[in-house]
Amino acid sequence: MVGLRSLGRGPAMRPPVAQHPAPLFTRPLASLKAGTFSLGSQRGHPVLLSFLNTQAEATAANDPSRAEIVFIKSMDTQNRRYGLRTVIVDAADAAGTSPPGRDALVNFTFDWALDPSIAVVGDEDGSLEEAYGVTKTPTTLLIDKRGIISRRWDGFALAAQLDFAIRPLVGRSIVEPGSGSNGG
Amino acid sequence: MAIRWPRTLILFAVSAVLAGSFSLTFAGRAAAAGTAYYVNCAAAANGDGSLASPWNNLGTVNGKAFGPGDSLLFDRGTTCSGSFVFSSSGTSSSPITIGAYGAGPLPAIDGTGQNRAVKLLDTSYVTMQDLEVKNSRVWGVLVTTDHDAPAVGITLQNLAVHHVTGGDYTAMNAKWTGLVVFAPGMIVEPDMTKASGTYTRNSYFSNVLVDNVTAYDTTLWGGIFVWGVQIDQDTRWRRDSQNQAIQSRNITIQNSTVHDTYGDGIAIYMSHEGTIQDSVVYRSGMQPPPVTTGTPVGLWWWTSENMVGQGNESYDNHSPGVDGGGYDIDYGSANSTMQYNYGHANSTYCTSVFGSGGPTTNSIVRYNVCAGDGTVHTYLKSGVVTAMPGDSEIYLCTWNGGKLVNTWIYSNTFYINSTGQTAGLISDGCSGGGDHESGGIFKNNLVTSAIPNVLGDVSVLNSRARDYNLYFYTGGTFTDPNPEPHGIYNTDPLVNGLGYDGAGRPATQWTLQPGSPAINNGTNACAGLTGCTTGTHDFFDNQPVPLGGAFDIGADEAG
Repeated sequence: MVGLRSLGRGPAMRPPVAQHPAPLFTRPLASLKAGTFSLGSQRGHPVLLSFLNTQAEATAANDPSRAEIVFIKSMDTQNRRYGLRTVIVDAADAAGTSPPGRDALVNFTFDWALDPSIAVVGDEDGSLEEAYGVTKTPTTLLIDKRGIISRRWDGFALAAQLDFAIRPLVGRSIVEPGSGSNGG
Repeated sequence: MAIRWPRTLILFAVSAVLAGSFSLTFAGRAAAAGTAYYVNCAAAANGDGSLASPWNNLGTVNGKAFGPGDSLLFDRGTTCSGSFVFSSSGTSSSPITIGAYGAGPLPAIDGTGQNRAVKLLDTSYVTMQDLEVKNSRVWGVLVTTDHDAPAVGITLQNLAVHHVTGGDYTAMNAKWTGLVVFAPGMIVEPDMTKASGTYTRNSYFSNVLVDNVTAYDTTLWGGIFVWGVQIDQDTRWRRDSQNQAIQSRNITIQNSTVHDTYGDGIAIYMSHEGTIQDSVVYRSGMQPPPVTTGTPVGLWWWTSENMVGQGNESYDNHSPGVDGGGYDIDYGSANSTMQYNYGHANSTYCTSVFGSGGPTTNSIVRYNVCAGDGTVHTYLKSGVVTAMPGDSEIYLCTWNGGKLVNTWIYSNTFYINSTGQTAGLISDGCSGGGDHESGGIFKNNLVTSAIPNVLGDVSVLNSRARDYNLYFYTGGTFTDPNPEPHGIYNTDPLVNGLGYDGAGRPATQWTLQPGSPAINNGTNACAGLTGCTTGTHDFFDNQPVPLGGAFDIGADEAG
């Protein structure tokens, strides 16, 4: 299904790939408190940026956006203390849906019991998806402390794939046997 | 730039529709044709159920009937006290939605100590979502029937269910109690008298979906619990338990978390075509001894067919007696697959397969990581401190004429550090002993042990074909009394994070380093076995199997 907002989409742009600068953006936070999330202000921290269908309904096939949320939460829990920042973008265009309103995005944070440290933002005009060349959900990028894209997953990313990529950016060894997260 | 509907235009359109028929939900999801009704228990006056004048108490709501496509929405950030009972049905094309409106925290149903906070009775095609349910006596969410027909198409999503602490399942002598319970043909609460129906075992659940449900804190039995066949205040369910015609079916539980239950974490009984995936269970089985109603396991099924458990984490589970493991394919089951799971730090086993009163057939245990299980070494048996059976990584057990037919254990990673009497890779501690097994295999498994008794009960291990495994004892040299022709012994497996058994699904830990002897030294474990497949990918990163021309040993396919 193609969402209403996909009508008139311009020619496909080459998506930003690894080792290229991540397009900067500033968006209002989906939160009961006012505030914005600015990628530029995260310099000095690696950022896990995940484009999801936040309004995905449960299906027996396990919608990949819903399954991805579980891993995104786990990565945030494990790596937040090491400096990782996590932001979820509602990718309505890529999901083929109409953009949710602010309330629906706020509710998404409660429905999934997201830690307040995870930023959730909308993309009502689709410009962010366009800037990042996002054509499917989930799409996840890992951005290093300098704002350079380190890894990109077009489609579902497993915890191991995410963790392998995140650890070097937050200074964690991949051979440490140490404690993990709170599950997930 | 894409052409878009201006945000203001969308808002105008929504407002116009709401002002007319209140036919859209605020939940941000597709609206069905039907009427939306609203509940705000913080409202000063009881209204007519409209957005402008919502109902303000559950008593009013409980007295209403709803039709296909309708929505019943509770105001976020508010709490309704009492018991919510819902008995309407939608259709497959127009389900009824019970959910939330507004913005903010989940609306709450506070059971205020009543037997159940939420009861879905004789409903089909109902989705209940975006609610907090708490503080009830016997059930948090009870989905049940008092008729003699299937209940079809029930979805529970985005729920937080907790604190079901006032009741006593031992008095009921029944496991169908707890946080989220599906049980057809209930013996109806509160007085334990029989329900009004005359049952012929034709009521069961079909097409159940539980997604993103967090259930925790109960002194009743289950976290998320599906009892598959109709109950009629007798024990005929036991006789009928393997009759697929009357079992529940197409049950999916996923993306959910259960913790701190007295009984089972996530369990499906007497059902077929079931899947439990991408979920986490911990601290189930917290009932203090002695055993009363049963011995729980974190995530398991009993007497069920065509079942899959995958992508889960189950840890720190307990029991008032035996069991208290992470995963279990229990007796009477057929065509079961436990794969891509992580089990660790459980009181007893990571994974068990049991047989009783007949065969348990075609049980596949593959691409799992099991680490540091068997943490409890005694239990009270009739008040006497007794050695705990099954405090190993794998526990295979048959009794009462049971047998295990085709238990295929391959391509798993095990880490053993238990110090119990049956500590080791594998054990069989059932009364009378003896693992009655045929057609079993144990291949391609990576076994690392911090204790010298690496194999555990070698006779149990030898009752199945085993080869192409890697065994490594971190404390010295290990000698296999029955060496495998292609086994690898006393060679460091070169894994990342050796010894990891902590909370959090391993992502890098237990993966193979370059040069690991486990790489390309496995085999096609299913060769020659009808119905056995090697699977499509490994535990960690969806690497196809085999990779690099040959199978690796363990749950990681590195190259």
